[in-house]
Amino acid sequence: MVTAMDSSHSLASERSSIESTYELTKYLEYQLKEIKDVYLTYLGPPFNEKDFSPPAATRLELWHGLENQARLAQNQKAYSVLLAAVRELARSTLCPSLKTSLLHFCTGLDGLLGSISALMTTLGYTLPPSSANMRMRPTMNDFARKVEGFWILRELQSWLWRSAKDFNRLKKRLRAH
Amino acid sequence: MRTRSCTYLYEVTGCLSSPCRSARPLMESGGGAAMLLLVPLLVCALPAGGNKNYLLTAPDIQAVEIGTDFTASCMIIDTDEITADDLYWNVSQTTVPRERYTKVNQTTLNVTIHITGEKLEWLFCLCKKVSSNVILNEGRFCHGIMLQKGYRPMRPENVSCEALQAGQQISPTITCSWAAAGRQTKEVPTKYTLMLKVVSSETFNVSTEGTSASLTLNIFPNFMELEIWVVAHNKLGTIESERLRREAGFFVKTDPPANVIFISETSFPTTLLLNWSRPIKIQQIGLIYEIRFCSNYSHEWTYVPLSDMNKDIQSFRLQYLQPDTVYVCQVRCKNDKEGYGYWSEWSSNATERTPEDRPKSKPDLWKITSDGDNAIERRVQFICKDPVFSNGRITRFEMKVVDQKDRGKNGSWVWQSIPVNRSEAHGGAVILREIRLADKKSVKVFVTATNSVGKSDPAALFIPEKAHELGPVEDLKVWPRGGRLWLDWKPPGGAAATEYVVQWVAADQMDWQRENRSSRLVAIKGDLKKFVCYTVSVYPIYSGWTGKSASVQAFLEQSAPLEGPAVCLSGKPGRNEAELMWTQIPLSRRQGFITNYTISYTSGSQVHTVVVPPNVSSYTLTSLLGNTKYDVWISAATVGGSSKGFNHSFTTLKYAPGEIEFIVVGVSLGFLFVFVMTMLLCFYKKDAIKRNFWPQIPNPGESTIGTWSPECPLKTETPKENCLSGISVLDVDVCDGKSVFEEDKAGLPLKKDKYLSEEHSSGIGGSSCMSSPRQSVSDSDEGGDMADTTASTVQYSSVVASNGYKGQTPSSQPQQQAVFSRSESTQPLLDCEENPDVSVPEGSRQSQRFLRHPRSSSHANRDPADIDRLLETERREALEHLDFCPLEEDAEQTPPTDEQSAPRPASSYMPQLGGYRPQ
Repeated sequence: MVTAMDSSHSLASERSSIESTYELTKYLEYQLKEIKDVYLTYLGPPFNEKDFSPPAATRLELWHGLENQARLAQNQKAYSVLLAAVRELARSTLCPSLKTSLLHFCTGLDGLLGSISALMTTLGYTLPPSSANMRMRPTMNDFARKVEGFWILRELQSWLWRSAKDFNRLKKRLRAH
Repeated sequence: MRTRSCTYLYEVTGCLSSPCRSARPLMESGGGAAMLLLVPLLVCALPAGGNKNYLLTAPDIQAVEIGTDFTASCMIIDTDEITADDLYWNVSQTTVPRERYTKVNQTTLNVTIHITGEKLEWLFCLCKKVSSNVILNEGRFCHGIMLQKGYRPMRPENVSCEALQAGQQISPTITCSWAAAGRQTKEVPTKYTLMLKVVSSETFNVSTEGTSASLTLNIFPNFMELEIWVVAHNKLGTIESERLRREAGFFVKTDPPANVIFISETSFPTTLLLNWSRPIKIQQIGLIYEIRFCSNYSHEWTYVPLSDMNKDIQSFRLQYLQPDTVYVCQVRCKNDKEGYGYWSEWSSNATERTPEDRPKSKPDLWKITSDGDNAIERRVQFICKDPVFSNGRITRFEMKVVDQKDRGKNGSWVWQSIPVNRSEAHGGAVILREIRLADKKSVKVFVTATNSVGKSDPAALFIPEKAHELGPVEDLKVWPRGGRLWLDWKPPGGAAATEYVVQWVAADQMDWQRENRSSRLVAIKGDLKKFVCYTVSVYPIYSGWTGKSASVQAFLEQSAPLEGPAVCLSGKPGRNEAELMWTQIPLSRRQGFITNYTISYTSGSQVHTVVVPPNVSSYTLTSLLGNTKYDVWISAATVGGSSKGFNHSFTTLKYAPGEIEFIVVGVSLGFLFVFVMTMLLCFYKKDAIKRNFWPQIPNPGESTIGTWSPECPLKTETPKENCLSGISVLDVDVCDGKSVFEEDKAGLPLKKDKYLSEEHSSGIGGSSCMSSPRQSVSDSDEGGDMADTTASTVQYSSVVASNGYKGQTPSSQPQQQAVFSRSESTQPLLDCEENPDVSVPEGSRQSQRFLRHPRSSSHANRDPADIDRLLETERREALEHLDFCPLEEDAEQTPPTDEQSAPRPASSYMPQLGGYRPQ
């Protein structure tokens, strides 16, 4: 009896946790879309050209094959790296409003990290060890830095898009339980 | 709380008689009560200063909690001059009883006190004056603790937070408020710290002494979980409120929806489409909406159920509305997650009128019946109100009057269109038409109302023949209550009514309402005025046929009349009574039912009042004083008060009508009575009177002397002759009478009597002569014919007695006769001598006298001396008379009368005068 109640309670808590994480991901995706346009304009050509589309780095079929825990752990790991990257991006951005936007986005991203951690805790998964911050090499020239910024945002967007799907799938899977 | 040496305390407390030699704060350490801690501290403290204190108190605490026991210790240091037994404790100059002390050892004394009251106090450890050293260094044998009293903080309750929309974002400032619990003192105030933690991220806080605070974050942490709580803390402790752990959207209150507009579509007269736009982007927050609307008439909001609303919509169609009605609508929104967020304020109004539609109900048709020009017809005026659901502006009514007996004819079946001029509309009703309806006719009237879209169903009203009208309702009662007029009635005895029409009419107002067949207790729905008399009628309707009405008059509220009745007198006032009449107060100024009239009248000081019933309009005041001015006025009273009319003044009469006449008639009658009685007395007692006033003179004619000297036929003169011969003849014939009439007719009877008395007097000759002085008196009296004649008669007597003429010719007698009254002396004799011819025509008449005269001429004899004297007197008298006579004679001569004797004496006088003079 007690176990049943506990399980139903934790299920509801998990569901709401996944739900909010999903919503946050969607919101960050929306936010990122707004920031990205501004940022690409900031970067200038060729980054702001429509057909500028380097190929994606992740292979979907591999990704889908992963377990929930593994995927969440990957998300966690990825966002912690990306958060550090965006922070660096914000730090190095000269446009103040864009800087603020990026910093605000960092807050959201930080929240998402927290959310994923909380979700993993709720689901009883062990948290991956915090990864070392990615540092940009100071020797990088201006263009190389721009390319890196472009890729960071590009990567972030794809991660957020993918995470939203993940969380939605997770939600559905929990419902099916 | 602090421990202090007594040097500091000296001024504060005044507990010591001399200043302390030395003082020094010993400890600032925490408030632990453990005695063990004190020892090392004391050891540390000792070498520090030169001016040592021999007593030390503990613990050193911030505050003490009210309602608890507090234990303090006092230690003796650096001296063995005193022991713990010499110590004692004071709280605010009051020594704590010894039973509360606990002696720990020879140098330490504990005390336990109960903390009460909120006032700040000092707790001192003091030493008894056991030696001179203690007395001299009193300040060193003293140490105290300040007791700052307070309460422990209580857990803050009902923490709630709100984040408002700012521009297109949610503001990063979150404002929270909570309810403080428990009490606090001035010395131990409670402070609050608002804590906000973005879960797995930063924590923010802000402190305040109040019960609300705001925290500003970097950015509103959308979709992130927040943990919010409040910490209450003071010197006595710290306590946390319950932690509020919610997603950030839970605290959001957005702006109301923007651009709210109504769209009306002609083809949908009962719906309106409502559009709006969301106040914030959907990515930030999902929203649900609530709509409320009302028609312009009701002003009561109707809420659209939330279950009918989908999430994140931006338009809604309101249905089942009334056509041609203005609607007002408002929208608000909130977070679409259940239980999340706060409702925004209501949006600004969207206002729109629904399109018109065909009238959906019948017009309200009614009639006003009044008497026609002649006795066999009625005047019926048809009036109509717009249908309740007119669904637009009624532009015209169409009316059809069907005569029941004229069914064959088509003329009366035609619909007549009556355009509505709204300025003519009277209280919402339109006068359609007036018809003259014979009492023996019945009609059916149908009316439809038309607006710009279409026509209503017809309303019908049937008016039966006057004789066939069905009976009225019974026991109709009307009464005011709660600012409305209420009606109650019993249904008519005969056929069952299908409907009732309640109609109310005032001077300038007429309205009606319909009630269904089961209605009994009904309130008039119209806007009734106070103090106005309404005639309330109830008409039963029998399947469209109108019945007879029952009517009652009623006031919504009664008040004193606006004016009093005008009073005036009916006719003229009497002596003791006056009839008053007054006019009815006009209905428009009556303001209530007159319950009575009070008549007040006063003649000065005291006011008398008379109360009369309301149906009386005249009254007679009685018991008034005569010849008094009265002021009178009338007050008319209603339930609501009374009003006084103008004063009217009148003065009562001095005499009652007829009183004067009565007095006059009475006096006249009395006088008449007296007169008649006198006359009667005179008549019946004439003998006695005669005896008293006119003594009996024996009739010479009856005397034997008459017969005794028959040859003396002279009349008036004869006495003189007769006197000579001792015989006097008194003529009392018609001629005498004539001459008397000429002089004074009234004197006639008396004269006759005088002559009679002359006749008698002759018998008393001497006494007659004695009466001559009276004659002179009589002469001086003007018009004293009586006296004159009396005198003459007396004179006669005396003349007769004294005159010595004898044998005078009788022919001269008539002349003498004519003037006898003036001169009964011897003149006739002269006259006769001078005018013998004049006497001729009279002869025949005179002759009759002669027949009598001889009788009277045969009177007393007188001696010559007397006769002479009398003659002299007579002559003088005659002269006096003659001075006046001609004038009188002339006057009498002018009218030629049939009286032959009149002119004659005149002519006979002149010679007489002439005849005298030689004498």
